Amino acid sequence: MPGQYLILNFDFSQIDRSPPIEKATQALAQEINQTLLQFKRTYVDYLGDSFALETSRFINSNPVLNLRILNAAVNNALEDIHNKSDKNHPLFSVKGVCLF
Amino acid sequence: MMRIGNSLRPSLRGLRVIPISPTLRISPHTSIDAHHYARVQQVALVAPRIYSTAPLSSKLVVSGELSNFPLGLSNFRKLREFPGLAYFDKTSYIPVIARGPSVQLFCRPRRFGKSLTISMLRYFHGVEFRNQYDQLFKVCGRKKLFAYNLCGYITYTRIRIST
Repeated sequence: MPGQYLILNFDFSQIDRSPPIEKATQALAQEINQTLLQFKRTYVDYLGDSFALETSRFINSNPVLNLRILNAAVNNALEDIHNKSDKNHPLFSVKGVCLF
Repeated sequence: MMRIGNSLRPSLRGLRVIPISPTLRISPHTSIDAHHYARVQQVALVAPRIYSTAPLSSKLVVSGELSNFPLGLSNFRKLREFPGLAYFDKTSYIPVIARGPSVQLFCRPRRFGKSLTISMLRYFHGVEFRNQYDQLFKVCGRKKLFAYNLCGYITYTRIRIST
């Protein structure tokens, strides 16, 4: 069935990988954070206020932690939707995040 | 003298037509005996490709009258919206990918179509594109892909992050 996932789409091809490595690391962190913010903007209306509150704790210097926060926030939001058994909710049939 | 074969011949299976490979014609003035010359008069430079790895369901799709083959366009929706663009329909691979492992890595050369395939999957699986499914995928000749074809795909409990 189509339309059953939230899409998290990273594009690492745009990152400047030239030395020094610190600069490339910073570019990688910026790309991850930007993708997470784009995911949040796309799906915050679907996932609700609790998701928005949990993902407000993003830290620019720690993209891995931000990804953990985002993943946990999505899990919590989807669990709430499934527990309420609201079949009219647009995310009721959504299984989770599809990572590209 | 090199001769490039430009005729077509049926494959051994008789189902498709494949091009003859380029051949090298041996000059009769060489010191090869007649019997040997007759046997190797035309030596294939490239082995003819008898079997194809492409599934029979894979086909060329054009929206309207063919205009061109787009290069560098990896957005599936734009490809579908603009008339006259031709591309190879890979929607039949969606259930194949879904039946695979939860984490998959595709290593293919440039211009293979990785980005376009990812874009196609994004438009198929994304909940925000649910209302556009018929518009984007119906003309690909696909019947609707049902849930039993997509069982066991990436679920929100299966994403793991390691540092």
